[in-house]
This record gives sequence, C-alpha cells and structure tokens, in this order.
Amino acid sequence: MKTGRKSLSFILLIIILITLSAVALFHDSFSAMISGNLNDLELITLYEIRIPRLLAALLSGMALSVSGMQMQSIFRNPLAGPYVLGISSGGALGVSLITMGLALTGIRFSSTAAFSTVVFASAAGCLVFLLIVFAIHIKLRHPATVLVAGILLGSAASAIVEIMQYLSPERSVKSFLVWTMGSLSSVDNSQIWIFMIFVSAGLILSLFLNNVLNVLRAGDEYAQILGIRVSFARILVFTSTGILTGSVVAFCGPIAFVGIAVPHMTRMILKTYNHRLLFPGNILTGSIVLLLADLGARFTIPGLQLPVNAMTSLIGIPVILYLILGKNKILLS
Amino acid sequence: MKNILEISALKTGYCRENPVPGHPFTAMTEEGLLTAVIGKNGAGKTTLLKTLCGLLPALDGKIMINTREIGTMTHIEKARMISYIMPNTGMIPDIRVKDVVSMGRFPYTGWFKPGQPQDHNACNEAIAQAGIEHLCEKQFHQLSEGEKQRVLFAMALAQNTPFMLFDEPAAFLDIPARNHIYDLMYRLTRKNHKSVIFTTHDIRRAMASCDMMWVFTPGEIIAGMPEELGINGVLDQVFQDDHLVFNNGLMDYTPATNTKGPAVEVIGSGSVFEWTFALIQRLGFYPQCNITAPISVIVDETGKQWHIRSEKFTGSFFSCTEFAQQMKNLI
Repeated sequence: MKTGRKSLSFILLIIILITLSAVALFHDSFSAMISGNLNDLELITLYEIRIPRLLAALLSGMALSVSGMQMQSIFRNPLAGPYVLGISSGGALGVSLITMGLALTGIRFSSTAAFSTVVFASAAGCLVFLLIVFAIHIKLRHPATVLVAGILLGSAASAIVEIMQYLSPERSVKSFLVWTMGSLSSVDNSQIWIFMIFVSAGLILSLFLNNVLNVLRAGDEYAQILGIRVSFARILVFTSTGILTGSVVAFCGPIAFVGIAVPHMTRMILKTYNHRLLFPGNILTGSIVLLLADLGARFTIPGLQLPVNAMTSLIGIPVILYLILGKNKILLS
Repeated sequence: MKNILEISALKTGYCRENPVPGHPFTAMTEEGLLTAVIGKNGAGKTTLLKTLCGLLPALDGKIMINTREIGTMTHIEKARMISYIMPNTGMIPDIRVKDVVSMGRFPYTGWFKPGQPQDHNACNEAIAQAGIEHLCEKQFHQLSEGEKQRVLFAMALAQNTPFMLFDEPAAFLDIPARNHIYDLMYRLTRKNHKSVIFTTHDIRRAMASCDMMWVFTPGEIIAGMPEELGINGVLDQVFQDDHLVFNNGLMDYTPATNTKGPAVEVIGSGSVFEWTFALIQRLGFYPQCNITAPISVIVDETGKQWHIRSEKFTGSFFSCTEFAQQMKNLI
C-alpha cells in the first residue's frame, strides 16, 4: 500500500519530467515533430541550442538537489545547501579573477575562448576551496567547524571580489555580474559532455553514500558503533558535493535556492527520510524544478530571457518560507 | 563456542594526558551474563563503556573478544560484535521509528546493498521483542522517554551482537518503563544468550537481577558477584567519601551515622508491623525487635491498633496519624 503510493509518486514525477522536456524542445515545432519533418533550421536549433540547454538544466537540477540533500543530512540542518561548504565562493573568486582581474592587467580573451576559460577558472577555484575544506575537516574533525569555515571562506572570497569590482571598468563588472545570475545557455554541444561526465561521477559516488547518510542522521557516535568510519565517510560526502556543486558553478554559474528547496520538496512528496529513495527522488524533482525555472525564464516576458537565478529564487523562496512559517515544518530535516 | 569478552589491565580516559584515575581494570564476561556497572557520577563508567565499544581508544591494556583484540578489528567487524546505546536519547532527530530500528542493520547491508529479506526479518523480530509494534510508524521525537529507550533497544537488537552495552538505560524512566527495560535486559541474557553490560544508579534492582557487578571504588574497579562484593565490603567503599554504607537489609545505601536515635522495641508481625517499623525509623528512632528498650510499641495486626509503653506515656491508638503524633512527642 505504502510502497504503491511511493511508486506512483515516482511515475508521476517521470511523466512530468518527460512532458516538460518535450515542451522545452518542441514548444514551437510540435506538429512538425509529430509528423517527423522538421526543417533544417528547426533541426539546427534543436541540436545546437535546445538539447544542450535542456541537458544543462537537467544536470544542474539533479546535481544541486542531490548535493543539497547530502549537506542537509550531514550537517543535520534544514537550511544547509550545496553552497554551505563555501566551494562555490571559490568558483566565484576564480571567475572574478578571470573576468575582472585579467581585464585590469589588460589581457583580453576572444569570446569563444572566454567561456572555456570561465569554466576552467571556476572549477579551479572550487577545487582549491574544496581542498581547504578537507584540510580543515582533517585537522579538526567536527562538522560545525566545517560550517564556520565555509562561511568564513565565502566572506573572504567575496571581500576580494568586491575589491576587484570596485577597481574594474563597468564592462567587466557587468560580465561578472551576469555570471553570478546563472545561465543555462552558455554550455554548447561539445562542452555538455564534459559537464555530463562530471555530474555522473558525482552522482555515482553519491549512490554509495545513501546507506551511510541514513545512519549518520543518528549522529557520529551511533554511526561509528554501527561500523562507519565517520571521518572517511564525511570526506566522501564532501567530495561528491564538491564535484556536483563545482561542476554546476563552473558551467552554469551559482544557481540559487534549488539546492536548499528541492530536498525539502522531495521529502514532502515522498514522505520518507530514506536516502535510498530520496536520492532518485531528488534527481527527478531537481530536474523538474530547474526545467520549470528555465521555461519561466524563457517565456515569462516574450522575446526576453530573464536570468535563471531570478526564476529559481522565485520558486525556491516560497518553499523555504513555507518550511519556516509552517508549524514545525523546519524540524523535518 | 561461547563468546567471551576479556579485559586485561585496561586504562581508560578521553585522552592520554587525562586518564581515569585508579588501578588498571581486569575482568571478563561471556554470553548469557548480565553485568551491572556501579559507581559515582564521574567515576568513569561511561568512559569504560565507550572504550569497550571502540568509541574511545584504550589508553593501556587490552580488550579481547574471542581472543581477538578489538583494536585489530575493522569497524564493521566490531559493529557485529558490540552494540552500545547512549543515555541521551535526544541525540536522534525526528525520524520514523521503523527507520531507527533498521539503522541497526547497517553492519550487514554495508555501504551499498539495499535491505535483504533477512534484514527485514531481523528488524521485525527486534520490534516484536522490544514490544514496539504499535510505535513503528510514529516519529521518534514524539515518543515518551521510555518508548525511546525501547526503540533504541530494538535498534541494538537488530544489530544482533553478542555483547550489548547500555548506558543508564533506566534513567529518567517511570517505574513501569524501568521494569520493562530490566525485564528486557534479563530476557536478552537468558533467552537470547547475549552478554549485557549496563550502568545504573539503581543499586537495589541491580542487586536483584545481575550476575556480575563491576564496582567503581575510589582506588580501582572491582569485578565480582554482587553478594560476594557485599560480603567482602566492596560495596561499602563506593560512596565511603560521602559517608554512605551499603545496608543489606534495605539493599540500598544509607548514611553511615553512629547516632541512631533512641531505641524502640517493636513487637508484632505482618504488613502493619512492617509499615510501622518503617514509620518509626523515619521519625528518627532506632526500631529493633527482640530487645528491651525504654520505649516499646506493640502492633496489633488484626485490630489495627498501636500500643505505646514508655515511662513518659502509655496508651493505645486506632489511627496511624495519631500514633505518629504521639511518637514525635516522645523523641
């Protein structure tokens, strides 16, 4: 009976995801798609623009949601999200160094090389910050210290970013600001594969952490009594979150609120705390939410694309508000 | 073959610089035995249990399970040998009771495998044995303290280890819940042939049920059969700094005062007699049988009457309250 309800939820989520994906790909060429005679322009739009954009949305959605789930469970904090480790601040710092710092020194990139450079700078920044988090964790071995360190790292990074914003010309400040708003359309056909490989690696690693996350909820001591090397397990969780968050930040920018809100939505939909179910649930819900946000960004104002962060915030903030204002809901971490 | 836990020359403590004071501890226990750990707050009972289950490293000495030192076991191997339930049930956030119990199966499912049919069976058995079938779908944080303890018991049962450690399992529980926990621990040793080691301050109940006692005296930890420890005066040493001695009539600790109040001879039998005996003691007298004392009280069991005979006063009472009032005047 109960399992039946959960299977039904999964089937519904899959149907919604397929429908939304179809809308995203074929919203203006639906009849042509059915009859199988898309013209050349439509085919090029499909392969060069819409499919990479759809994949970017799905991959970012699942990556952020799974890493948000991991952070909420490992810190036992309902307001934790993929960015609590401060890794994304590293990405922002890397990108700001490229977009504003290099501009200050007078070096310019051609526009085709620019995006790859941004991805590389962001990934490098995320990696450096992840290594700092590891070092702190290995030295101090307490989850709270990692949280504090994450906040401090983030503040330090944004202080440096602010200095560069203050010193840089308007144009490069704007290109950095646009990056912070997130974008699903920058990734092209060739880069999407790299994105996919990273997200898959992160998700495969996460797959092996679900049983551990179930037990870690009871606290470190019980986890150790039940046979988990807690500090090693936590390193693995940080690694998978680092890969997932870092690759999203690198390819699509710091997309906001999905990582905090979706794990809660998934728990409400599936009504379970079992990570073996929450994991696929978050993959589906996360993809759907980011796809919805992207559709919203494309179609709210005809002819104009809004930044994706504006849409994810508009979807995510009501969920978080509901969690805080709804009676005792915030406890359901 | 019986599972055996051997402790030799063990020194415990949270860190090497700050060990628990006293001599090294040597003891052993085996499956089927119920062991109570007795001692003052802060004596190191919890530290000992945490060291036994591997949460803290042994500062010195050895802990062997079936001739294997626990330091050489992997985390999973250890988790299949020893379970430990902490006194603070608030550690666990809200989560469904069923999911708490199924955590106990982690040593068998490991990092990746889903629960197998034998895991579900083990959980269901544990739930049945702890008597928490009706709580399965509830949230852990909504339960009463006694129910939480039983859920954690079920988790430890699902873990299915030969050695089970419980840190103050009956603290904060009301009397029926406490009874239930003691019953469960007793049955675990007799029916499931587990070796249960628990800490408690409820010395009377420990005396009545356990096979072995590990007693923290100021200088060392002494292991033995409870009665033997009583005969050898070990129990008297536990609270000697606080001037408490073990009273084997009450099976509890009482102040070691020499001034026992004026002697009263109490004559009679039956339950009214016993209550009266207790009352006279509470009022500050030293009640005794079969002696001659300046004050004597005769209890008439059938007529519920109390006769007082003394130099100052002689009379009879039909009410316990009036009798007590008069006794107070005599002190």
